[in-house]
Amino acid sequence: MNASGPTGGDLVLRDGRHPKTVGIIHCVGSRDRNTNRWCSRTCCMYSLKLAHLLKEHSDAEVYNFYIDIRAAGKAYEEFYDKLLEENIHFVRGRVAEVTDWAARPEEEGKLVIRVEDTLIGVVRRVPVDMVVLAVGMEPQADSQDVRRMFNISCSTEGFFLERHPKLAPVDTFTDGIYIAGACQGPKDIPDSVAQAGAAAAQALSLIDAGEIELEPNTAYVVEKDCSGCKSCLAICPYTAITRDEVKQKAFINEALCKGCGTCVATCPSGAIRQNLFEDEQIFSEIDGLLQDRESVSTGG
Amino acid sequence: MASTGMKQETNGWEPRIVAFFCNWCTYTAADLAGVSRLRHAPNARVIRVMCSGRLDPQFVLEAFARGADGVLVGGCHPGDCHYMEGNYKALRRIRFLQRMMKDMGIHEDRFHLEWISASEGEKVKTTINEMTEKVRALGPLGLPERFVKWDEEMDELEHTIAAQEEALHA
Ligand SMILES: Cc1cc2nc3c(=O)[nH]c(=O)nc-3n(C[C@H](O)[C@H](O)[C@H](O)COP(=O)(O)OP(=O)(O)OC[C@H]3O[C@@H](n4cnc5c(N)ncnc54)[C@H](O)[C@@H]3O)c2cc1C
Ligand code: FES
Repeated sequence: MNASGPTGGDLVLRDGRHPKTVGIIHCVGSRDRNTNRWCSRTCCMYSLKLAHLLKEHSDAEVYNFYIDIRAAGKAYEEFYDKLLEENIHFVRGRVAEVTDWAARPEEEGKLVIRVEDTLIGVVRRVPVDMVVLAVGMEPQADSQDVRRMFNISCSTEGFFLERHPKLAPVDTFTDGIYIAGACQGPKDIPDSVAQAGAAAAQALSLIDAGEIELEPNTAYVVEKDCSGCKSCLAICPYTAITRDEVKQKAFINEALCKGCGTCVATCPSGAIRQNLFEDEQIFSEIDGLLQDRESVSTGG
Repeated sequence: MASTGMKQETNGWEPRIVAFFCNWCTYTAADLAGVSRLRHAPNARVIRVMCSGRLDPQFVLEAFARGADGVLVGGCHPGDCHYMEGNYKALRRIRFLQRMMKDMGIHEDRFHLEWISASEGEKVKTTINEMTEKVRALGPLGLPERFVKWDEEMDELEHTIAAQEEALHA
Protein backbone atom coordinates (compact mmCIF):
# COMPACT_ATOMS: atom_id res chain seq x y z
CA MET A 1 0.00 0.00 0.00
CA ASN A 2 3.05 2.19 0.43
CA ALA A 3 3.35 4.46 -2.62
CA SER A 4 7.13 4.32 -2.35
CA GLY A 5 7.17 0.53 -1.85
CA PRO A 6 8.13 -2.14 -4.40
CA THR A 7 4.69 -2.23 -6.04
CA GLY A 8 4.29 1.53 -6.07
CA GLY A 9 1.22 1.31 -3.86
CA ASP A 10 -0.47 -1.30 -5.97
CA LEU A 11 -2.14 -4.27 -4.27
CA VAL A 12 -0.82 -7.38 -6.02
CA LEU A 13 -0.41 -11.06 -5.24
CA ARG A 14 2.87 -12.88 -5.73
CA ASP A 15 1.74 -13.97 -9.20
CA GLY A 16 0.84 -10.41 -10.22
CA ARG A 17 -2.93 -10.79 -9.92
CA HIS A 18 -5.01 -8.26 -8.03
CA PRO A 19 -6.76 -9.92 -5.06
CA LYS A 20 -10.53 -9.61 -5.05
CA THR A 21 -10.87 -10.59 -1.41
CA VAL A 22 -8.47 -10.00 1.48
CA GLY A 23 -8.78 -11.50 4.95
CA ILE A 24 -7.01 -9.81 7.88
CA ILE A 25 -6.60 -12.10 10.87
CA HIS A 26 -6.15 -10.32 14.18
CA CYS A 27 -4.40 -11.47 17.36
CA VAL A 28 -2.17 -14.09 15.71
CA GLY A 29 -0.07 -15.47 18.55
CA SER A 30 -1.46 -12.95 21.03
CA ARG A 31 -3.95 -13.43 23.86
CA ASP A 32 -3.39 -17.16 23.77
CA ARG A 33 -2.35 -19.42 26.61
CA ASN A 34 -0.39 -21.55 24.18
CA THR A 35 1.71 -18.72 22.77
CA ASN A 36 1.76 -15.20 24.16
CA ARG A 37 -0.76 -14.39 26.81
CA TRP A 38 -0.53 -10.64 26.33
CA CYS A 39 -2.44 -8.36 24.00
CA SER A 40 -0.06 -6.84 21.48
CA ARG A 41 -2.02 -3.61 21.62
CA THR A 42 -1.11 -2.28 18.20
CA CYS A 43 -2.57 -4.97 15.91
CA CYS A 44 -6.23 -3.91 16.14
CA MET A 45 -5.47 -0.40 15.03
CA TYR A 46 -2.94 -1.18 12.33
CA SER A 47 -5.27 -3.89 10.98
CA LEU A 48 -8.08 -1.36 10.83
CA LYS A 49 -5.76 1.09 9.16
CA LEU A 50 -4.79 -1.54 6.62
CA ALA A 51 -8.43 -2.41 5.95
CA HIS A 52 -9.17 1.27 5.39
CA LEU A 53 -6.24 1.66 2.99
CA LEU A 54 -7.23 -1.50 1.10
CA LYS A 55 -10.70 -0.06 0.61
CA GLU A 56 -9.26 3.24 -0.46
CA HIS A 57 -6.69 1.91 -2.93
CA SER A 58 -8.40 -1.15 -4.38
CA ASP A 59 -11.85 -2.56 -4.90
CA ALA A 60 -11.17 -5.73 -2.92
CA GLU A 61 -13.65 -7.06 -0.38
CA VAL A 62 -12.00 -6.87 3.05
CA TYR A 63 -12.69 -9.19 5.97
CA ASN A 64 -11.44 -8.59 9.52
CA PHE A 65 -11.41 -11.61 11.81
CA TYR A 66 -11.08 -10.41 15.38
CA ILE A 67 -11.51 -11.60 18.97
CA ASP A 68 -12.27 -8.13 20.35
CA ILE A 69 -11.60 -4.78 18.79
CA ARG A 70 -9.44 -2.88 21.23
CA ALA A 71 -9.60 0.69 20.10
CA ALA A 72 -8.45 2.40 23.27
CA GLY A 73 -6.72 5.62 22.38
CA LYS A 74 -7.50 9.12 21.37
CA ALA A 75 -9.84 9.07 18.33
CA TYR A 76 -9.31 5.32 17.86
CA GLU A 77 -12.88 4.28 18.58
CA GLU A 78 -14.08 6.97 16.19
CA PHE A 79 -11.82 5.52 13.50
CA TYR A 80 -13.30 2.06 14.10
CA ASP A 81 -16.80 3.54 13.87
CA LYS A 82 -15.94 5.12 10.56
CA LEU A 83 -14.71 1.78 9.19
CA LEU A 84 -17.95 0.08 10.12
CA GLU A 85 -19.58 2.35 7.57
CA GLU A 86 -17.00 1.64 4.88
CA ASN A 87 -18.43 -1.71 3.84
CA ILE A 88 -15.69 -3.67 5.53
CA HIS A 89 -16.72 -7.07 6.87
CA PHE A 90 -16.11 -7.74 10.54
CA VAL A 91 -16.27 -11.34 11.71
CA ARG A 92 -15.99 -11.84 15.45
CA GLY A 93 -14.26 -15.13 16.17
CA ARG A 94 -10.91 -16.76 16.55
CA VAL A 95 -9.75 -18.26 13.25
CA ALA A 96 -9.31 -22.01 13.52
CA GLU A 97 -7.55 -22.67 10.24
CA VAL A 98 -6.44 -21.27 6.91
CA THR A 99 -6.40 -23.95 4.22
CA ASP A 100 -6.10 -24.26 0.45
CA TRP A 101 -8.24 -27.38 0.47
CA ALA A 102 -11.44 -26.56 -1.42
CA ALA A 103 -14.67 -28.05 -0.13
CA ARG A 104 -16.82 -26.26 -2.68
CA PRO A 105 -16.27 -25.17 -6.31
CA GLU A 106 -16.12 -21.46 -5.39
CA GLU A 107 -13.24 -22.21 -3.00
CA GLU A 108 -11.09 -23.57 -5.81
CA GLY A 109 -7.71 -21.80 -5.99
CA LYS A 110 -8.44 -19.74 -2.89
CA LEU A 111 -7.31 -19.68 0.69
CA VAL A 112 -10.19 -20.68 2.91
CA ILE A 113 -10.46 -19.14 6.37
CA ARG A 114 -12.38 -21.37 8.76
CA VAL A 115 -13.81 -19.51 11.72
CA GLU A 116 -16.66 -19.62 14.15
CA ASP A 117 -18.60 -16.40 13.76
CA THR A 118 -19.56 -15.96 17.40
CA LEU A 119 -22.04 -13.19 16.70
CA ILE A 120 -24.31 -15.39 14.62
CA GLY A 121 -23.18 -18.68 16.13
CA VAL A 122 -22.18 -20.56 13.00
CA VAL A 123 -18.94 -21.96 11.67
CA ARG A 124 -18.04 -20.20 8.43
CA ARG A 125 -15.67 -20.88 5.56
CA VAL A 126 -14.56 -17.64 3.93
CA PRO A 127 -12.59 -18.02 0.68
CA VAL A 128 -10.10 -15.19 0.04
CA ASP A 129 -7.26 -14.41 -2.36
CA MET A 130 -4.94 -12.92 0.22
CA VAL A 131 -4.46 -13.40 3.95
CA VAL A 132 -2.78 -10.85 6.18
CA LEU A 133 -1.72 -11.99 9.64
CA ALA A 134 -1.57 -9.42 12.43
CA VAL A 135 1.28 -11.14 14.24
CA GLY A 136 1.69 -10.29 17.91
CA MET A 137 4.61 -8.39 19.34
CA GLU A 138 7.32 -10.30 21.12
CA PRO A 139 10.46 -9.25 22.93
CA GLN A 140 13.57 -9.13 20.76
CA ALA A 141 15.25 -12.56 20.62
CA ASP A 142 18.41 -11.18 22.24
CA SER A 143 16.62 -9.20 24.97
CA GLN A 144 18.24 -11.32 27.69
CA ASP A 145 21.73 -10.46 26.38
CA VAL A 146 20.89 -6.79 26.24
CA ARG A 147 19.34 -6.97 29.69
CA ARG A 148 22.51 -8.44 31.09
CA MET A 149 24.69 -5.93 29.30
CA PHE A 150 22.87 -3.03 30.93
CA ASN A 151 22.24 -4.74 34.25
CA ILE A 152 18.49 -4.30 34.04
CA SER A 153 15.61 -6.71 34.60
CA CYS A 154 13.03 -8.34 32.36
CA SER A 155 9.47 -9.23 33.22
CA THR A 156 8.58 -12.91 32.81
CA GLU A 157 7.62 -12.36 29.17
CA GLY A 158 11.03 -10.90 28.37
CA PHE A 159 10.14 -7.22 28.03
CA PHE A 160 12.40 -4.84 29.95
CA LEU A 161 11.09 -4.08 33.39
CA GLU A 162 10.39 -0.53 34.49
CA ARG A 163 11.21 0.53 38.03
CA HIS A 164 7.56 1.20 38.83
CA PRO A 165 4.60 0.74 36.47
CA LYS A 166 3.00 4.03 37.46
CA LEU A 167 5.54 6.19 39.23
CA ALA A 168 8.74 5.37 37.33
CA PRO A 169 7.65 4.00 33.96
CA VAL A 170 10.85 4.78 32.03
CA ASP A 171 13.35 4.17 34.83
CA THR A 172 14.99 0.82 35.37
CA PHE A 173 16.47 -0.63 38.54
CA THR A 174 19.86 0.52 37.31
CA ASP A 175 20.41 4.24 37.71
CA GLY A 176 21.05 6.10 34.50
CA ILE A 177 19.49 3.43 32.25
CA TYR A 178 16.08 4.34 30.86
CA ILE A 179 13.70 2.40 28.64
CA ALA A 180 11.19 3.57 26.07
CA GLY A 181 9.09 1.99 23.36
CA ALA A 182 8.25 -1.57 22.47
CA CYS A 183 11.21 -3.04 24.38
CA GLN A 184 9.25 -2.30 27.56
CA GLY A 185 6.02 -3.84 26.28
CA PRO A 186 3.82 -3.70 23.18
CA LYS A 187 2.83 -0.16 22.34
CA ASP A 188 2.10 2.04 19.35
CA ILE A 189 4.02 4.99 17.97
CA PRO A 190 2.34 7.77 20.04
CA ASP A 191 3.02 5.88 23.28
CA SER A 192 6.59 5.08 22.19
CA VAL A 193 7.26 8.70 21.38
CA ALA A 194 5.80 9.89 24.67
CA GLN A 195 7.92 7.40 26.59
CA ALA A 196 11.01 8.29 24.60
CA GLY A 197 10.51 11.95 25.44
CA ALA A 198 10.20 11.10 29.11
CA ALA A 199 13.30 8.92 29.02
CA ALA A 200 15.31 11.62 27.28
CA ALA A 201 14.16 14.20 29.83
CA GLN A 202 15.13 11.87 32.68
CA ALA A 203 18.58 11.35 31.21
CA LEU A 204 19.02 15.08 30.67
CA SER A 205 17.99 15.91 34.21
CA LEU A 206 20.68 13.53 35.46
CA ILE A 207 23.27 15.21 33.25
CA ASP A 208 22.04 18.68 34.06
CA ALA A 209 22.19 18.19 37.82
CA GLY A 210 25.95 17.78 37.51
CA GLU A 211 26.01 15.59 40.59
CA ILE A 212 24.48 12.30 41.61
CA GLU A 213 22.55 11.58 44.76
CA LEU A 214 23.45 8.25 46.27
CA GLU A 215 21.52 5.97 48.56
CA PRO A 216 23.20 6.11 51.95
CA ASN A 217 23.24 2.34 52.52
CA THR A 218 26.46 1.65 50.63
CA ALA A 219 29.14 -0.79 51.68
CA TYR A 220 32.68 0.19 52.63
CA VAL A 221 35.95 -1.58 53.34
CA VAL A 222 37.73 -1.37 56.67
CA GLU A 223 41.21 -1.51 55.18
CA LYS A 224 43.09 -2.69 58.24
CA ASP A 225 40.94 -5.84 58.35
CA CYS A 226 41.00 -6.58 54.61
CA SER A 227 43.30 -9.43 53.67
CA GLY A 228 42.93 -8.74 49.96
CA CYS A 229 41.52 -12.20 49.29
CA LYS A 230 39.28 -11.04 46.41
CA SER A 231 36.24 -13.07 47.57
CA CYS A 232 34.09 -9.98 47.26
CA LEU A 233 35.15 -9.06 43.73
CA ALA A 234 33.19 -11.75 41.91
CA ILE A 235 30.17 -11.41 44.15
CA CYS A 236 29.30 -7.80 43.30
CA PRO A 237 26.71 -7.60 40.51
CA TYR A 238 27.64 -3.94 39.86
CA THR A 239 31.40 -4.42 39.59
CA ALA A 240 31.66 -1.77 42.28
CA ILE A 241 34.52 -3.57 44.00
CA THR A 242 38.06 -3.50 42.72
CA ARG A 243 41.34 -4.44 44.28
CA ASP A 244 43.88 -1.75 44.89
CA GLU A 245 46.96 -3.58 43.70
CA VAL A 246 49.35 -1.25 45.50
CA LYS A 247 47.65 -1.52 48.88
CA GLN A 248 46.50 -5.09 48.17
CA LYS A 249 43.09 -4.23 49.57
CA ALA A 250 39.58 -4.21 48.22
CA PHE A 251 38.07 -0.87 47.30
CA ILE A 252 34.36 -0.13 46.89
CA ASN A 253 33.28 2.57 44.49
CA GLU A 254 30.41 4.22 46.35
CA ALA A 255 28.97 5.63 43.15
CA LEU A 256 28.44 2.13 41.78
CA CYS A 257 27.43 0.35 44.99
CA LYS A 258 23.68 -0.19 45.27
CA GLY A 259 23.81 -1.34 48.87
CA CYS A 260 22.61 -4.92 48.67
CA GLY A 261 25.11 -6.00 51.31
CA THR A 262 25.98 -9.30 49.70
CA CYS A 263 29.71 -8.56 49.90
CA VAL A 264 29.33 -7.68 53.58
CA ALA A 265 27.95 -11.12 54.30
CA THR A 266 30.59 -12.72 52.08
CA CYS A 267 33.78 -11.15 53.44
CA PRO A 268 35.55 -13.85 55.45
CA SER A 269 37.47 -11.24 57.44
CA GLY A 270 34.45 -9.13 58.32
CA ALA A 271 36.27 -6.23 56.70
CA ILE A 272 33.33 -4.99 54.66
CA ARG A 273 30.60 -3.11 56.43
CA GLN A 274 27.37 -1.54 55.29
CA ASN A 275 26.07 1.87 56.24
CA LEU A 276 22.65 1.66 57.94
CA PHE A 277 22.91 -2.13 58.05
CA GLU A 278 25.98 -2.64 60.23
CA ASP A 279 26.35 -6.08 61.81
CA GLU A 280 26.06 -4.46 65.25
CA GLN A 281 22.75 -2.89 64.29
CA ILE A 282 21.33 -6.19 63.14
CA PHE A 283 22.64 -8.03 66.19
CA SER A 284 20.94 -5.46 68.42
CA GLU A 285 17.76 -5.91 66.44
CA ILE A 286 17.95 -9.66 67.03
CA ASP A 287 18.61 -8.99 70.68
CA GLY A 288 15.70 -6.57 70.87
CA LEU A 289 13.31 -9.01 69.28
CA LEU A 290 14.25 -11.76 71.69
CA GLN A 291 14.40 -9.62 74.85
CA ASP A 292 10.92 -10.40 76.08
CA ARG A 293 11.15 -14.05 75.16
CA GLU A 294 9.33 -15.10 78.31
CA SER A 295 6.28 -12.90 77.78
CA VAL A 296 5.56 -13.56 74.14
CA SER A 297 2.35 -15.49 74.78
CA THR A 298 0.20 -12.36 74.78
CA GLY A 299 0.38 -11.73 71.04
CA GLY A 300 -2.62 -11.77 68.74
CA MET B 1 -4.70 -15.40 67.59
CA ALA B 2 -2.85 -18.54 68.63
CA SER B 3 -5.13 -21.19 70.06
CA THR B 4 -5.47 -21.05 73.82
CA GLY B 5 -5.53 -24.82 74.01
CA MET B 6 -2.01 -24.86 72.66
CA LYS B 7 -0.90 -22.29 75.17
CA GLN B 8 -2.05 -24.34 78.09
CA GLU B 9 -0.41 -27.44 76.72
CA THR B 10 2.91 -25.70 76.30
CA ASN B 11 2.69 -23.83 79.55
CA GLY B 12 2.39 -20.32 78.10
CA TRP B 13 5.28 -20.84 75.71
CA GLU B 14 4.91 -19.36 72.26
CA PRO B 15 7.36 -19.94 69.42
CA ARG B 16 9.58 -16.97 68.72
CA ILE B 17 10.64 -16.69 65.12
CA VAL B 18 13.14 -14.17 63.82
CA ALA B 19 12.44 -13.32 60.19
CA PHE B 20 14.92 -11.69 57.81
CA PHE B 21 13.01 -10.14 54.93
CA CYS B 22 14.44 -8.60 51.80
CA ASN B 23 13.45 -4.95 51.42
CA TRP B 24 12.20 -5.29 47.85
CA CYS B 25 10.06 -8.38 47.94
CA THR B 26 9.16 -10.09 51.14
CA TYR B 27 9.30 -7.00 53.32
CA THR B 28 7.02 -5.21 50.87
CA ALA B 29 4.78 -8.28 50.77
CA ALA B 30 4.59 -8.26 54.57
CA ASP B 31 3.60 -4.62 54.34
CA LEU B 32 0.94 -5.58 51.82
CA ALA B 33 -0.31 -8.32 54.11
CA GLY B 34 -0.72 -5.66 56.78
CA VAL B 35 -2.44 -3.18 54.51
CA SER B 36 -4.74 -5.98 53.28
CA ARG B 37 -5.53 -6.74 56.92
CA LEU B 38 -4.47 -10.34 56.64
CA ARG B 39 -4.13 -11.91 60.05
CA HIS B 40 -1.15 -14.09 60.69
CA ALA B 41 0.53 -15.54 63.73
CA PRO B 42 2.28 -12.80 65.74
CA ASN B 43 5.21 -15.10 66.41
CA ALA B 44 7.46 -13.92 63.61
CA ARG B 45 9.33 -10.68 64.16
CA VAL B 46 10.83 -9.09 61.11
CA ILE B 47 14.29 -7.66 60.54
CA ARG B 48 14.67 -5.80 57.27
CA VAL B 49 17.73 -6.31 55.11
CA MET B 50 18.19 -4.75 51.69
CA CYS B 51 18.67 -8.13 50.01
CA SER B 52 18.60 -11.72 51.15
CA GLY B 53 22.26 -11.71 50.07
CA ARG B 54 23.01 -9.53 53.10
CA LEU B 55 22.12 -12.44 55.34
CA ASP B 56 25.28 -13.26 57.20
CA PRO B 57 25.19 -16.84 58.55
CA GLN B 58 26.14 -15.30 61.86
CA PHE B 59 22.79 -13.54 62.02
CA VAL B 60 21.04 -16.89 61.95
CA LEU B 61 23.33 -18.53 64.47
CA GLU B 62 23.13 -15.48 66.70
CA ALA B 63 19.34 -15.49 66.58
CA PHE B 64 19.24 -19.12 67.70
CA ALA B 65 21.90 -18.52 70.33
CA ARG B 66 19.91 -15.65 71.76
CA GLY B 67 16.76 -17.67 72.08
CA ALA B 68 14.91 -17.82 68.76
CA ASP B 69 12.94 -21.02 68.19
CA GLY B 70 12.99 -20.55 64.45
CA VAL B 71 14.55 -18.38 61.76
CA LEU B 72 12.72 -17.48 58.57
CA VAL B 73 14.38 -15.90 55.55
CA GLY B 74 12.34 -14.27 52.80
CA GLY B 75 13.82 -13.15 49.50
CA CYS B 76 12.88 -12.42 45.93
CA HIS B 77 12.02 -15.26 43.57
CA PRO B 78 14.92 -16.63 41.55
CA GLY B 79 15.59 -14.21 38.71
CA ASP B 80 13.78 -11.37 40.48
CA CYS B 81 16.40 -10.19 42.95
CA HIS B 82 16.56 -6.42 42.93
CA TYR B 83 20.34 -6.76 42.90
CA MET B 84 20.34 -9.38 40.17
CA GLU B 85 21.59 -12.42 42.03
CA GLY B 86 21.93 -11.73 45.74
CA ASN B 87 19.26 -14.34 46.37
CA TYR B 88 21.33 -17.01 44.62
CA LYS B 89 24.24 -16.14 46.89
CA ALA B 90 21.86 -16.36 49.83
CA LEU B 91 20.52 -19.69 48.61
CA ARG B 92 23.97 -21.27 48.50
CA ARG B 93 24.84 -19.92 51.92
CA ILE B 94 21.54 -21.01 53.41
CA ARG B 95 21.65 -24.53 51.99
CA PHE B 96 25.10 -24.93 53.49
CA LEU B 97 23.96 -23.49 56.78
CA GLN B 98 20.92 -25.77 56.84
CA ARG B 99 23.16 -28.80 56.61
CA MET B 100 25.38 -27.47 59.37
CA MET B 101 22.41 -26.82 61.63
CA LYS B 102 21.14 -30.33 61.14
CA ASP B 103 24.53 -31.62 62.25
CA MET B 104 24.30 -29.38 65.29
CA GLY B 105 21.00 -31.00 66.20
CA ILE B 106 18.75 -28.11 65.23
CA HIS B 107 15.72 -29.47 63.38
CA GLU B 108 15.46 -28.38 59.76
CA ASP B 109 11.95 -27.01 60.27
CA ARG B 110 13.43 -24.34 62.49
CA PHE B 111 15.28 -22.67 59.65
CA HIS B 112 13.25 -21.93 56.57
CA LEU B 113 13.81 -20.06 53.32
CA GLU B 114 10.92 -18.83 51.20
CA TRP B 115 10.83 -16.78 48.01
CA ILE B 116 8.00 -14.24 48.34
CA SER B 117 7.45 -11.49 45.80
CA ALA B 118 6.17 -8.03 46.67
CA SER B 119 2.67 -8.92 45.52
CA GLU B 120 2.37 -12.10 47.58
CA GLY B 121 0.94 -10.79 50.83
CA GLU B 122 -1.10 -13.96 51.20
CA LYS B 123 2.05 -16.07 50.99
CA VAL B 124 3.62 -14.13 53.87
CA LYS B 125 0.62 -15.06 55.94
CA THR B 126 0.63 -18.76 55.08
CA THR B 127 4.41 -19.05 55.38
CA ILE B 128 4.45 -17.48 58.84
CA ASN B 129 1.45 -19.48 59.99
CA GLU B 130 2.79 -22.78 58.74
CA MET B 131 6.23 -22.18 60.15
CA THR B 132 4.79 -21.13 63.51
CA GLU B 133 2.80 -24.36 63.72
CA LYS B 134 5.81 -26.48 62.76
CA VAL B 135 8.01 -24.81 65.35
CA ARG B 136 5.23 -25.06 67.92
CA ALA B 137 5.11 -28.79 67.29
CA LEU B 138 8.87 -29.03 67.85
CA GLY B 139 8.65 -27.13 71.13
CA PRO B 140 11.10 -24.58 72.52
CA LEU B 141 14.72 -24.71 71.38
CA GLY B 142 15.90 -22.72 74.37
CA LEU B 143 19.56 -22.45 73.48
CA PRO B 144 20.28 -19.72 76.09
CA GLU B 145 18.96 -22.00 78.84
CA ARG B 146 20.92 -24.90 77.43
CA PHE B 147 24.05 -22.75 77.35
CA VAL B 148 23.57 -21.96 81.02
CA LYS B 149 23.08 -25.65 81.75
CA TRP B 150 26.09 -26.61 79.67
CA ASP B 151 28.15 -23.97 81.49
CA GLU B 152 27.07 -25.41 84.80
CA GLU B 153 27.93 -28.90 83.65
CA MET B 154 31.32 -27.71 82.48
CA ASP B 155 31.92 -25.98 85.80
CA GLU B 156 30.91 -29.11 87.63
CA LEU B 157 33.19 -31.20 85.47
CA GLU B 158 36.06 -28.81 86.09
CA HIS B 159 35.48 -28.98 89.84
CA THR B 160 35.38 -32.74 89.78
CA ILE B 161 38.60 -32.95 87.82
CA ALA B 162 40.26 -30.40 90.06
CA ALA B 163 39.14 -32.33 93.13
CA GLN B 164 40.41 -35.57 91.66
CA GLU B 165 43.78 -34.02 90.84
CA GLU B 166 44.02 -32.58 94.31
CA ALA B 167 43.28 -35.97 95.78
CA LEU B 168 45.93 -37.49 93.52
CA HIS B 169 48.61 -35.04 94.63
CA ALA B 170 47.66 -35.14 98.28
C1 LIG C 1 2.90 -4.46 11.24
C2 LIG C 1 2.93 -3.33 12.21
C3 LIG C 1 2.27 -2.16 11.89
C4 LIG C 1 2.26 -1.10 12.79
N1 LIG C 1 1.58 0.02 12.49
C5 LIG C 1 1.51 1.03 13.36
C6 LIG C 1 0.77 2.20 13.08
O1 LIG C 1 0.19 2.33 12.02
N2 LIG C 1 0.72 3.17 14.02
C7 LIG C 1 1.37 3.05 15.22
O2 LIG C 1 1.27 3.96 16.03
N3 LIG C 1 2.09 1.97 15.50
C8 LIG C 1 2.18 0.94 14.61
N4 LIG C 1 2.90 -0.17 14.93
C9 LIG C 1 3.64 -0.20 16.18
C10 LIG C 1 5.01 0.46 16.01
O3 LIG C 1 5.73 -0.27 15.06
C11 LIG C 1 5.77 0.47 17.32
O4 LIG C 1 5.05 1.17 18.25
C12 LIG C 1 7.11 1.15 17.20
O5 LIG C 1 7.86 0.62 16.16
C13 LIG C 1 7.90 1.03 18.46
O6 LIG C 1 9.08 1.77 18.33
P1 LIG C 1 10.41 1.39 19.08
O7 LIG C 1 11.39 2.42 18.70
O8 LIG C 1 10.13 1.18 20.50
O9 LIG C 1 10.85 -0.05 18.53
P2 LIG C 1 11.33 -0.46 17.05
O10 LIG C 1 10.68 0.42 16.04
O11 LIG C 1 11.10 -1.91 16.98
O12 LIG C 1 12.87 -0.13 17.10
C14 LIG C 1 13.80 -0.92 17.80
C15 LIG C 1 15.12 -0.80 17.10
O13 LIG C 1 16.14 -1.37 17.90
C16 LIG C 1 16.96 -2.17 17.09
N5 LIG C 1 17.59 -3.19 17.94
C17 LIG C 1 17.01 -4.26 18.53
N6 LIG C 1 17.91 -4.96 19.24
C18 LIG C 1 19.08 -4.32 19.10
C19 LIG C 1 20.41 -4.56 19.60
N7 LIG C 1 20.69 -5.62 20.38
N8 LIG C 1 21.37 -3.69 19.27
C20 LIG C 1 21.12 -2.61 18.50
N9 LIG C 1 19.90 -2.34 17.99
C21 LIG C 1 18.89 -3.18 18.30
C22 LIG C 1 16.04 -2.76 16.07
O14 LIG C 1 16.73 -3.18 14.92
C23 LIG C 1 15.12 -1.56 15.78
O15 LIG C 1 15.65 -0.73 14.80
C24 LIG C 1 2.92 -1.24 14.04
C25 LIG C 1 3.58 -2.41 14.34
C26 LIG C 1 3.60 -3.46 13.46
C27 LIG C 1 4.30 -4.73 13.83
S1 FES D 1 16.76 -7.97 46.61
FE1 FES D 1 15.37 -9.47 47.30
S2 FES D 1 16.66 -11.16 47.46
FE2 FES D 1 18.00 -9.71 46.60
